[in-house]
Amino acid sequence: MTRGLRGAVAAAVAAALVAPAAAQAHGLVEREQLPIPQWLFAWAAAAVLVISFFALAVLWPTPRLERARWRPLAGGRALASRPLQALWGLVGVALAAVTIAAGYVGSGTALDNWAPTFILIWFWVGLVFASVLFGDVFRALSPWRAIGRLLPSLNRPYPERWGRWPAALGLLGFTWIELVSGWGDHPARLVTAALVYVAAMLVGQFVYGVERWSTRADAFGVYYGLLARISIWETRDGTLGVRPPLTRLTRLDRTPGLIAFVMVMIGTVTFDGLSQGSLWRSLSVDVVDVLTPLGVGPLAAAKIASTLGLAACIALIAGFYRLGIEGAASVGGDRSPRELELAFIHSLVPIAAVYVAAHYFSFLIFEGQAIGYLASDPFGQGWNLFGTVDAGIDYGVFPTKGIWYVQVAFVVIGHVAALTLAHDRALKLYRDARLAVRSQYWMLGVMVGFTSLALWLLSQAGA
Amino acid sequence: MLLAAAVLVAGCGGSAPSTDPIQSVPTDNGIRAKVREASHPTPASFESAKGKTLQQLAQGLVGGPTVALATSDLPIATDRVAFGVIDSQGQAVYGQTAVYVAPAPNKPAAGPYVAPADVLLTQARYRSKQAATAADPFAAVYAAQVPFKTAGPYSMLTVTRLPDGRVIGATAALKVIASADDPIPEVGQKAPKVHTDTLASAKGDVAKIDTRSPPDDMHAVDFAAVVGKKPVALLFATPQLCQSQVCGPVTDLEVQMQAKYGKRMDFIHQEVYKNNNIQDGLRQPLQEFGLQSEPWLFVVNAKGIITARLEGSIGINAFNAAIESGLAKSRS
Repeated sequence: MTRGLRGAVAAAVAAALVAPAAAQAHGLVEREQLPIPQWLFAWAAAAVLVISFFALAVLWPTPRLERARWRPLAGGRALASRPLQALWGLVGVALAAVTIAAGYVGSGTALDNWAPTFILIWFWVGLVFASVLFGDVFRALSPWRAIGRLLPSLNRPYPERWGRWPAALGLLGFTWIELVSGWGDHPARLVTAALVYVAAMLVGQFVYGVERWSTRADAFGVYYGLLARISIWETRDGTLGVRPPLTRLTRLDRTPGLIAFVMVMIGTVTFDGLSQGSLWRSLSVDVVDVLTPLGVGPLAAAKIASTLGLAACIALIAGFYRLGIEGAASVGGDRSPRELELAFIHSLVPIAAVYVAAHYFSFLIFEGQAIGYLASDPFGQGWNLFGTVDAGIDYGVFPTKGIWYVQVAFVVIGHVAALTLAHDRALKLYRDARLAVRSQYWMLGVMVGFTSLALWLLSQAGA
Repeated sequence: MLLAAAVLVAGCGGSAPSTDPIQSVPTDNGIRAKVREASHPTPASFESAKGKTLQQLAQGLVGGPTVALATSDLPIATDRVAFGVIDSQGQAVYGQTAVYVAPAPNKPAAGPYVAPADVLLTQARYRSKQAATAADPFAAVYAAQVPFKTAGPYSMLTVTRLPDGRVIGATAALKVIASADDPIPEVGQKAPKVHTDTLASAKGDVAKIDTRSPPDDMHAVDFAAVVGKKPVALLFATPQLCQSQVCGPVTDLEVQMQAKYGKRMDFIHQEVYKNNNIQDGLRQPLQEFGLQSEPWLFVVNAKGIITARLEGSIGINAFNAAIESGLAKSRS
C-alpha cells in the first residue's frame, strides 16, 4: 500500500468514525419529521465533502485563490470616503449609546430591554451574516474605533509577541459572559461589561494606535475582520473594491494567538451547541454533584462546570485540528506541524462562520424579531416611536422544516469552502500537486469531522 | 443621534403602546370585536330569573354549544365560575354572556350573573413559542361571580347574546364543595411553606424545571425562602404537558405580570409533573398544596396570607386583580 493510499484510508476511517454515526446517535431523530431521514443528511454532507475533495484534486491543479486579483469598484473611492466613514462611525456610537443607556434605564427584565437583544442577537449574530455578505461592517460601525480616531494616541509599538492573544482572551471573555455568566438576563450587568470593554479598547487604542489595536487586540475587530475576509469586498488605499470570495483569507498575517483565536471561535459555538443537549446536562450535573459537597453553591458549581465545558470544547477543537495537521505533516514535504498549523488556519475561518450561522440562524430570525418592538421603546418609557411596540415574534416567518435544510446547507458550503482554501494553500505550499493532495487527506478528515460535529451539535437542540 | 431622534419622534407624538388587553386579540373573523362586546355584558340584557327554573329560562334559546368549565371543583368560599362556550365546530363563542344557577334544572334559579370575557392572550412579546404557534388559541375566558350559599351539586345555564342577534344557551353541572372538604389552601389562610424548584435545586439545568419554550426566568427564588417576607405570585403550570391546555397562556400571563410587577413581588413558576413526565406523578409542592389539576395561581401577600387563588383559565383582568390583591394587603 502506498503512503498516500494509507493516508487516505486512515483519514477515511477517521472520518467515518466521527461522521454520520455520531450524528445519528443523538437528537437528530427527535427533530421534526423531514422528507428524508436525518442521518441521511449527515451522510450526504460527508459525501459532498469527499466528492468536492476529489473534484478539487482533479480540477484544481494550481493555486488560484492565492493569486486572485482585486478590482476597484466604480464609485469605490466615494463609498470609502472619510465623510461616509464618519457617518458610519456616528451610527455605531449612537447605537452603543442607546444600548448602554437602555441597559441602565430600561426594564430590568431582559425580555423587555433593548440591550440584551441588541448585543446578544444583532451585534453577536447579525454582524456575522453582515460581515460575510457585506465585508468589514464592524470596522465601519465600531464605536470605540470611531471615538479613538478623534482622540490623540501615543502610537507606541504594539508588542508583536502579543499578536492576537488579547483578542482571543477578549472573545473568550465575551462568550463566557454570553454562555456561562447568566448576565444576559441582567441588562445592567451586561452593559456594565460592555462599558468596561469600551474603556479597555479606548485605553489600548490610545497607547498603541487605533488601527494596530483594532486588528490585533480588539476581540470584535479581529472576529468580524476575519469573517469579512470571506466576502468579496475589500477596501484598499481608500477605495472599495471587489475580489473573489475567500481570497482575502489567503493574505491573513500569521501572528501569535491567531490559532487560539480561531479555536475560540469554533470551540465556544461547539460548547453552546453541546450545552443544549442531554449529554452535557448530564455531565454538568455530575460536576455539580462533585463540587457542592465542597461547599460550592449549586449555581456557582453549574457555572464552574460550564466554564470547564467551554474550555474543554476549545481544547477539543484545537486537538482535532492539531491531529489533522500532524497527519498532514506526516506525508512529507519537510514542513513542520507548527508551520502547517499557521499555514492552514485561514481555512477554518469559513467553518467558524458556518458554525455560528447554522447554530444561531433560527435564533436570529425568530428571537431577533424582538428588536422590532424594542426599538420603539428602547428605554422602557412607554413610547411607541415606530408604531411597533405591540408586535411580537412571528414563528411562522420561516418554516421549521426549512431551518434544518438551511443549517445543513450552511454547514456543507462552509466546509467545502474550507476544503478549497486548504487545497489551494497546499498547492502553493508543496508545489507538488500529488504531495499537496496527499497532505489534504488529513484535512479532509478534519473537515468531515467538523461537519459531523456541526450536525451533531445542531441535533443537540432537540436532544 | 438616534437618542435625539427617538426623543424627537416621541415629542412629535409617536402612537402610544396599547394598554387595552383586547388589542392582543387577533382581528381575524371579527374575533376582536366579538371579544370586546363580550367583555362588557350588562345585566339588563338578560332576563331576570324571578323564580323561574333553568328549564323555563332555557326555553327559546338556541341550543348546540357546550360549556367548558375552567375549574374542577368550586369551593364555596370561591365565587368565581370561569368557563368557555364552545360551538359544535369546536370554536369558542364570544358575545355578552350571563350565568344562571340552580340546585337542579327544575328548581328556581338565581341570576343573571354577568360573565365578562377576560382576554387570555398576552401582549405579543410575552408569548411563548407554544402560544405563538398555537392554532386557534382561546382568546378569552368568561368569568362570573356567583355567590353560592350552600355546598352541593348545581346546574348552570349560560346565555350568550351573539352579535347576529341569536341568543344561545348551554348547560353544565357544577359541584360546590364545603370549605371543610376543600384540601386546597383558601384565600385568607397562611400559605404552606413549601419548597419550590429553583435553578439552584435543578443544578443550573432549567430544562428540568421549565417546559416553556423559551424557558421563563421565574425560578430564581424558593417559595419557602420568600413567603411571609415579600409578596409572591406562585403559579403551578406546565406549558408543554398541560392536560387542561391552558397552562401555556397562563404562564405567559405571569411573564407579562412579572414585567409589570417584578420589582414589587416575586414571581415563581413551578412545573407540575416529576421529571416532566406525566406518568411520574405530581411534584412535591403540588402535593403539599393538595392540588390535583393545573394550572393554579396563588398570590400571597407579604405576611404570608393567600390573597387570591385561581384555577384553570385565568384572564388578564383576573390575573391583574389577583396580583393587586397581594400588593394591596401587604401595604395594610
